[in-house]
Order: sequence, then structure tokens, then C-alpha cells
Amino acid sequence: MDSLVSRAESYWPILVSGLWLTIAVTVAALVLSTVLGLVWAMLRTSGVPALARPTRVIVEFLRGIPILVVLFYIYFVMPEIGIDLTAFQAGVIGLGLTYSCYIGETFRAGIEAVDPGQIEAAKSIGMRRGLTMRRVILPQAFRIVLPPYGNNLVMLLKDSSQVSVISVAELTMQGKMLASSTFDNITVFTMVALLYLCLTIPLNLCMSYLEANFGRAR
Amino acid sequence: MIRFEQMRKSFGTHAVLRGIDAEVNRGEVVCLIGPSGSGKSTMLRCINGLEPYQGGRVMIGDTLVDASRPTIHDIRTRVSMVFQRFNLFPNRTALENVMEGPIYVLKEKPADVRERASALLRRVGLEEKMQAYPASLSGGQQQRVAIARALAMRPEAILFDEPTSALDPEMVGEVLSVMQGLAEEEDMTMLVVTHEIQFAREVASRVLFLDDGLIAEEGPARELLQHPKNERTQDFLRRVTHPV
Ligand SMILES: Nc1ncnc2c1ncn2[C@@H]1O[C@H](COP(=O)(O)OP(=O)(O)O)[C@@H](O)[C@H]1O
Ligand SMILES: [Mg+2]
Repeated sequence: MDSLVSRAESYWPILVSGLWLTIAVTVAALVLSTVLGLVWAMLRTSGVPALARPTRVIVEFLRGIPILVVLFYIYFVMPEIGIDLTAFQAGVIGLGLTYSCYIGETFRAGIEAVDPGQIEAAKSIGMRRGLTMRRVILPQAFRIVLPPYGNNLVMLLKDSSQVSVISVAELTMQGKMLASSTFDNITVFTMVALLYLCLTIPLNLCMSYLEANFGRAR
Repeated sequence: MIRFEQMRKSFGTHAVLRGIDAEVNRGEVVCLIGPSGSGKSTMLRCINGLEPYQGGRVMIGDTLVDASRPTIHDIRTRVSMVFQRFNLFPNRTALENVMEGPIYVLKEKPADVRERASALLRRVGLEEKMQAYPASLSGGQQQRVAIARALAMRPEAILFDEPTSALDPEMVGEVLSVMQGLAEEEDMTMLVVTHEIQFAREVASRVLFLDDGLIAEEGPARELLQHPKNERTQDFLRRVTHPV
């Protein structure tokens, strides 16, 4: 028992450094995918076919490729066409691109779920498209979108473990390396799993709280 | 003030309005009546460019209404609209709903707008409810907020699309009396789609009867409502005043 504690203690700093990197990858990919997702959603709901159609193709395309393949593609193929990326950058871009599709689709659904009467009301007081988006549609879509957005965030956090395949030293990667050098699989991977839960459980609780207190239309 | 000249509108192959000639003069209250599906809402929506039309013209003053031109936004600030289902912004208080247009579209100073919006809400009898969200208001109260929101744009005319049809019967009166006040005290130009024949008789100067895509009959309110000449008008009035 004593040795378990001391072993866990010796693994702790390494796993925590991985945990920080997991958080960094997740936050960076979240920012990228949210901004891109918003762009996709705006283009797809623009009502302009020349914008909506190509966007749809890009989104469908990206959604049809497994994250691992996207990551390999960015990390190994990009340098061959002269774009050198660190593993961290490649990981963030790969995750961000992939998730921008999911998040863009939830944003689009949210925008389309806003009552058309709201848009008419906005138009009837002279609002132009941009102002209608900013003052009327997005604030209401935000409430609709919050729960699925939260789910996407949790999934993104878990999927950030996939960037270990391109050697980003995040939590899963650190766990794998520790386990193969110590052969202490059970302790290491239990700790890894618990550390993920330390992030996902509070996030889920936070989301349910927001949903209950904010997601509802007043 | 608002003029239709041989205006035609279709949805795909379905011709809804087939050559409308009509006029609403400044300071006049005109009621538009007609069977459901006859195109009353469509006619209103063509005035402020919520719908494009295919033939003839719709004029507001000297301005041609053309939904495809960017100037349509300015036209919409000149003619406000009140909807059957209120369409208040649910995430904003009554006061914020009224202030939204003047601040963000007319770019007026927020402090002045707040004062004016409060006065408008007082005018429609809602001084107690300024900070309330639409969901906590009754239908009649919501529609009165919507009227205040329309007035806040200082429109030259207001279009009402069945403003009392979504209301419980006991709330119809409060909305109609606000509208009557606007007509009588402020000489507001109003085009009102309604089935409230009593209101039309008391408040409107003229009535238009829309049927099968055309203005089938028009005339002074009392005359047309009491002695309709057109058989279809007689038929329609019998049905709305004595529902089966
Ligand atoms: N957006 C639309 N697309 C296709 N048809 C429509 C649309 N809006 C209205 N219509 C049709 O136009 C006709 C007139 O509708 P409307 O103006 O709403 O009538 P009213 O307000 O008199 O009841 C109806 O037959 C309706 O089905
Ligand atoms: Mg209608």
C-alpha cells in the first residue's frame, strides 16, 4: 500500500505536466473550432448559395475523415509542401478543424431554430442583416446552442488524447510512456483516467448548471 | 401615403394578389378584411418589403418599395408593423424591446430613448411592466409592448396584421382601445387587417374587402359594413358577425 502511494507520487509530476498540455491543446482547439464553426454557420445560413454550397462541401468533407487521419495529414503531409508545424500546432489545427464542423453544425441548427417571427420583427424595425444577427439571432441561438456546445467541449477534451499519435506529450502520451517504462499499467492508467474525470465531471456539472439557469428562455 | 397600383404577387405559380389598387391617405385608418388565405398578410408584407412582388407598384409617399434594394431598410423605419403573434424579443425586457430600434437602427442617444420608451409604455398602460420579460406578460400586454415598439420608430404609418387574433377574448379590448387612441388622438396612419367588425365600424374611415386576389369592394366603413353591395362581401360579413 505504502509503495502504491509512493509510486503514484513519483508519477504525479509527469502526468500533471501531461494534463496541462491536454488543457492547452483543448483550449486552443476549442477557440479555433468555435471561431471557424461560427464562420461555417454564418456562411451556411447566409442565404447566398455561392457561400453556402462550398461551405457545406468543406464541412461534409472534413466530417467524413477520421480525426487520426486528419492529424497524420497535417503533421506529415504539410511539411512536404513546405509548411512546417510543431506537433502541438498540428494537433490543435487537426482537432480544431474537425471540431469546427461539429460545432458549426450545432451553431447552424441553433440559428435556424430561432423563430422566423423574430427575424421579421427585426426587419420591421429596419435592422439590416448584420445587426439582426448580432442583436436578435445570435443571443437567442446562444441559449439554444449552449447544451450541445458543452457536449462538444467534453468530447473535444477526450478526443485531445488522439494527438498523442503525433507525439504531443499530453496526458495520454505521458501515461503510455510511463507505463511502458515502469510496467505499472494499472496504477498509471487508473491515474490517467482519474485525471480526465477531474476535468470532465466538473465541466459536465458546470454545463448542467448553465443549462438550468441560463439556457432557458426567460 | 401608401399606394398600390396594379400590384401583383405570386408564390411560384400561385397568384395571390392579382392587380391590387388601393390607397391609404395620411392620418387615415383603413381596415382590410377578407377571408382567410385571401392574401391580406401578403399585402401588408409587400408594403414594408418583407415580401417582394412581381408586378405593378407599391409606393410609400414618393418612394417605390423594392425589397431587393438596400434602401428597403430605410423604408421599414418609416412604416412599422405589428404582428399577430407579437414577435417580441424574448431575451429583452419590455423597455429594452421598445428601445432596441431607436438605439441600434436610428442611432439615438440611449438616455433620450429610455425616456421616450418609458413614456410610450406608459401610454399603452404598462408603466408597471417596463422591466418584465415578454414570457411573464399576458398576450394583451405583449401586444401593447409591440405597439409601443412600433411607435418608438416614429413611423409615418403602422401596419397591423390581425393584432388581436392570437388573444384571449378578454384581452382584445385593451389592445383595440390603444389602437383607437392612436387613431383619434394622434392621427396615426394605420392599415389594419382585422376581423373585429365593430372596431372597423367605429375607428376606420374606410374598409377594403380583399377577395380572390383583388379588392372586391371598398368604401366608407359604416356604409360598406352595413350595406355591402358585393355578394361576396355580404357573405363574408355574415360569416364573421354570426359565426356558425
Ligand atoms: N411564404 C409563402 N409561400 C407560399 N405561399 C404562401 C406564402 N405565404 C402565403 N402564401 C399563400 O398565399 C395565400 C395568402 O396568404 P396570406 O397572405 O397569409 O392570407 P391571409 O393573411 O389573408 O390569411 C395563401 O394561399 C397562402 O397559402
Ligand atoms: Mg394573415
